Amino acid sequence: MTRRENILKGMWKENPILVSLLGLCSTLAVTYTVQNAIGLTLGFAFVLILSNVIIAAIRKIVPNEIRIPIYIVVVATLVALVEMLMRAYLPGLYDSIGFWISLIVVNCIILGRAEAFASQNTVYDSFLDAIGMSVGYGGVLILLAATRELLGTGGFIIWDGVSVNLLDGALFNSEFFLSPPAAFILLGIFIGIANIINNGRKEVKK
Amino acid sequence: MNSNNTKILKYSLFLIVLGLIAGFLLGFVNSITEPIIENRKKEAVAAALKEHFDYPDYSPSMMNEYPNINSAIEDIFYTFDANGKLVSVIYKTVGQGYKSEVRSYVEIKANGTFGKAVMISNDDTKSFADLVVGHDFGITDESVEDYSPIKAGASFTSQGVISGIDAAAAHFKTIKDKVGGITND
Repeated sequence: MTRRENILKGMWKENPILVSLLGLCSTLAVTYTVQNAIGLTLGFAFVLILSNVIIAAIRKIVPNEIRIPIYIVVVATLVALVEMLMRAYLPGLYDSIGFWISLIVVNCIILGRAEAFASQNTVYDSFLDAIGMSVGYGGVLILLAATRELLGTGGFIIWDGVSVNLLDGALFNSEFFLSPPAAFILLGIFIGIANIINNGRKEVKK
Repeated sequence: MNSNNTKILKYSLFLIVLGLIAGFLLGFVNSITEPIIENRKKEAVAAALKEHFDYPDYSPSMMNEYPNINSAIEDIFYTFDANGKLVSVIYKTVGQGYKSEVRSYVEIKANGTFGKAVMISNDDTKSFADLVVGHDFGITDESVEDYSPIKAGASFTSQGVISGIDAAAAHFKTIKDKVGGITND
């Protein structure tokens, strides 16, 4: 696998949400605002990139029998760091997604990448893998959040003070899109579209 | 020592060293973020209290000073004048309303008389609960030894506040001898 393929695979071919269907709980829970999605993406990327790099760096000295507890200590330490920093410097965001930040510890994507990739590849390749996965995860999260917030309120807030108001709250403006059932339905549609595209590509290759 | 024990020892040491590194790192970051978080908490409390009680300064939560306290008291704060002298004790209380918990602030001045009691949250039926918003319970300047609160039109929601007033008064009686010596130092 070339380095380009390595970084791109997480964005589409092995997208953690649309293809591997991992980390769906937090995806469904926080995507009622774009700001939450951006916050969780940043926290997730920080943990995934550093955990992949650290685990790749120590892979040769980690005893195989205790590798999972070691990965969990590394990931949990990074999550605690994110939590403390977010609580101190982004308290508003911490209040709305703090619970999900704590749960990054048990996010399947992080442990999955540690076990399937970082433990068998170089630091640089693991870094690229984490970048690609973070972009793939964050991209879907933000797209889903933007869709829900746009349909639910007519616009969306990217960050404090930076907002986009496309529909002026008049066309849809239905709180349904901000509710958990809408998250399930829209994510299902996204996954369906991804499957159609991937199946179409396979047909073309044949 | 057989090879199995050596392995166990090696693995244990590995995890201990990793745990120590993680602990030191977290301790270091915590030493930076903790004062910021505490300061933010204090500002949030002061902003919430200032809505109802206007004083130059407030203490952070003093609950740690009073272990084994009545469960109707959720938090305790001190208010101070410009010279840092204690003016009053504010209790955040919780009592049962009609169908929800009713939270209130009850202020008792250092001289043992009530300041005021205000309901800050509830989930009772809105049309009734609204009758308690801004209601004068008639306890201002009454002694904690002898007072009789007046219920608003919503008796259940009022009772949620009054049970908080009773809990605050009962607690204040146990600390009244030492409040004179409290300053903002």
